[in-house]
Amino acid sequence: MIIYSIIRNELTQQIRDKVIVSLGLLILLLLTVSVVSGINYYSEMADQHHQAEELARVQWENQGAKNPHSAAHYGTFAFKPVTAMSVFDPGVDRYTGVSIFLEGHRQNFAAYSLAEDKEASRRFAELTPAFIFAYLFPLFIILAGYRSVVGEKENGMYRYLKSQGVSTGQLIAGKTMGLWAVILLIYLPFLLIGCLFLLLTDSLGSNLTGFSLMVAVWLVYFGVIAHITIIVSTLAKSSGSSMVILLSVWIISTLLVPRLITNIASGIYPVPDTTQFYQAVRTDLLEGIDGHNPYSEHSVAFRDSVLTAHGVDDVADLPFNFRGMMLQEGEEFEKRIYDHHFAKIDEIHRSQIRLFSFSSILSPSIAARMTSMAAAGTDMHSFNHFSRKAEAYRIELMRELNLDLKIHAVGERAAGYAVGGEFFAQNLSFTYERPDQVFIDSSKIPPLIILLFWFGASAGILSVVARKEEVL
Amino acid sequence: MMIHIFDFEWRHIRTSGAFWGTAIILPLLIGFSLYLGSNRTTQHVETINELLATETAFYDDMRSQLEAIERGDAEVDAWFQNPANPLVLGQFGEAGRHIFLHPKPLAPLAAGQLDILPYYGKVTLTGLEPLRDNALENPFMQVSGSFDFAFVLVWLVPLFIIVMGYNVISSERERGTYSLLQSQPISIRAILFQKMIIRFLLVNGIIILSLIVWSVMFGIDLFNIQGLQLIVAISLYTSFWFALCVLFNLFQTSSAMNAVGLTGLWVFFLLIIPSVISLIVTSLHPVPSRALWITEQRTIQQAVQAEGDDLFDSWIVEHPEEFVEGDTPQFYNTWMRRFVWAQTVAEREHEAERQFEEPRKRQAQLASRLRVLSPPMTLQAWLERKAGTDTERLRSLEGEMRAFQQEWQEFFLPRFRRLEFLRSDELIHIPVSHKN
Repeated sequence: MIIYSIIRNELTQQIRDKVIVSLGLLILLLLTVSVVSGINYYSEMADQHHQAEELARVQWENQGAKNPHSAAHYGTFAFKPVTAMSVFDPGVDRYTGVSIFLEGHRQNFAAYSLAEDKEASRRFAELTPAFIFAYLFPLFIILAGYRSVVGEKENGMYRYLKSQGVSTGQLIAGKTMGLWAVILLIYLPFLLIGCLFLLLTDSLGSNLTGFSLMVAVWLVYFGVIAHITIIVSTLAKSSGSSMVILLSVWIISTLLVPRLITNIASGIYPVPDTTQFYQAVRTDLLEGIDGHNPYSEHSVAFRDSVLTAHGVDDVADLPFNFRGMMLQEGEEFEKRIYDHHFAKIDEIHRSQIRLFSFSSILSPSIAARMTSMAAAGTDMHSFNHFSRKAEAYRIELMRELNLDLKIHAVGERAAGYAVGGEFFAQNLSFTYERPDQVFIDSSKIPPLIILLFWFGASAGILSVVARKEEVL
Repeated sequence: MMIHIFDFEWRHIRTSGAFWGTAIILPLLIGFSLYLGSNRTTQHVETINELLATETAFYDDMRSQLEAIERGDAEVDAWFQNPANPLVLGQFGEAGRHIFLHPKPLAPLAAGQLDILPYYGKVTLTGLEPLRDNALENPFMQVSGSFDFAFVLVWLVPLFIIVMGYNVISSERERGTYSLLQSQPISIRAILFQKMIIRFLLVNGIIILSLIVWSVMFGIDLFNIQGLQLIVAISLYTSFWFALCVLFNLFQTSSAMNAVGLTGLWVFFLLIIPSVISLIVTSLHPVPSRALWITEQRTIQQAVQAEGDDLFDSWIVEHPEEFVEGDTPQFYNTWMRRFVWAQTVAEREHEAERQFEEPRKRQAQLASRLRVLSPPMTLQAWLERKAGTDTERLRSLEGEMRAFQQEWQEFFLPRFRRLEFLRSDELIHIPVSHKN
């Protein structure tokens, strides 16, 4: 009953505080604006990507009569999907390329990131719900709670409450729950706005798990900030020092540690530059079959083995087109080399992200941001999933083209063999379907566990502080 | 009196944790940011030197091969290996020139947009390829941004100033020493200003001294007019934040409220205004997705391919004196066509690029006008300009490459069109980018 009175009193105080109300409304306004502007952005981008996808297919089918292998060089594109969840948390979306060029013999990396075309002021801050939750909401919580206990001590109310039989534990529990109530007052309308957005974009069903996880993650993060705020407010000597300590925690957690760690991670796990990368790929490619060079040592050995297996002396006597076979053999060899080198880059990226995720021990903000990105499907794991699917499609398409050459360009048809629109229309097409389940792999577990640890530890410390204060 | 206040205040500050925190942490942060910045710049210089050395080695090799052929010591195996062929010297393999945006003296101070936009590219007769040696970087790392001096100065220094100055007078009031101050033969305002001046001098001294010491250690040249401009900019920026502290101390508010108000302004200038500006510029002048650009490029290429022979025929009609008819090598006919097509594709792509270029320019213009609302944004933009890592400069690379390509084409194409091969003594006249 006492706790309930404290909660009610705390809530009334906060609602009567013009600064808190104004800031709360400002945050709600910013959240609404960010989602509304996100709707326009999302629908425009989704529409443009859809158009591009359709056009790329039309271009593929109407490329004109040509040898299937010329079509492999002509290539096609895979376009990164635009997800509704990116409106809440764009994650790395702006920084990864929008499309991958799929062609014979090589794997390309995604080109043209949105960041390249965006104005530089966005690097200060970009109005998205994730930005508001990571940066502004904690400040709001700090502002609403920095005085909660120390303020009562300063104005003499603390001793009065004690004399009325209110224990410190009850006071702290009431203050904490009061702060939670204030948080929920702002957060719940956002949930409604978010659900409405997903309903309007017809994507609630496919994103329900992701959205729920994201919502839960941010709520846990706010809980951590609320607990730290009450702990500091209980231990601080004055409301001024409480404010300064809490602001320092905020600066270290949201500004300093993320930037420091990303730069340290890049230093510890350096990524080779593109020139070095392609040089290494070229060197390895020399060790295998070059589909375009029938005279290379490896190509000759392969040809001889095929001739022996079929018991003929000349490739012209083979029951299939040898060039088609060799191109496919070369393609598979090249794929292995590219896969090997891209896997190394991927491993470096993973190491960097691992270090970054462990640094969330120093910053709950990192843990929340990483898990939120994963839930929104806008983290590196989701992007890599798309890249892998695009690569799997590329190799299948190349196989289809080379197989046609191998089977049909035989005998008299071999010279000047060409296929037309009908053949290209039957080729596999690429449609990327994001899996419905939330992307949670083993690399996402540490930040999630660390965030829960932060929550548990902050709640634990809060109860210890409450007990200690009781004794004092 | 002033000296007395300074002396007293210095004794007071010496015992303050906020001061020692600033005096220890700020130089370390500045040092680390300059260390990263100088590493980044050194890497760029190394890349540039390596590429220039490769270019020089290629053309030296071509000249010595050509000299050997002219002396009769060597023979040409195939047309695409002939070092006298303009295609071999201007188009194939390692031929061509790299155009660089060289790091400016203050480049280590701000990473700017270097992680997104390229600072060099390669030009050949038909190729115009901006190169990104960091294309494999983890996009996740780009989200957080670079830890550079600009970040320390623009984002963190104001927070140190707020910590140093939020309670200069309010704490006197809270400690009960305010009335003592009022009894002094000097006004409270004068005391406040002098207290702030000593803090301003201390903070500026810490920043400038650590900047100079670390710069000397990392080989960043600050002893010039730009260094002086930087010091003036730092002083103006810190003055702005100290002025806000003075303003808050003039109100009869508590230390906590001062801290809240000052932090609120920090959030307003560094987070709210930029995010609103970003929202306004992107909503008013949206840039279409590059997904459309990719397919549009292909449409242009396909159209040019379809018009192929007609385009070439009309070019010949317009330039009859630039085409050698008769019994010419196969590569001549092939490449004459390719050059006409490539030029048509480039012109049409340049035209289509406007749908991105125009809104991007309008975004930049509007953002630069709105930026004055936020001193941190203004300073950031100024630092990036001084460091040469701002969007405008990095975007100028393409224009420079285009201009140089014209020079390159003017040297090689007329020779190729007349089927004239080069002599070894002509190789020294091959254009070199003046910027290099």
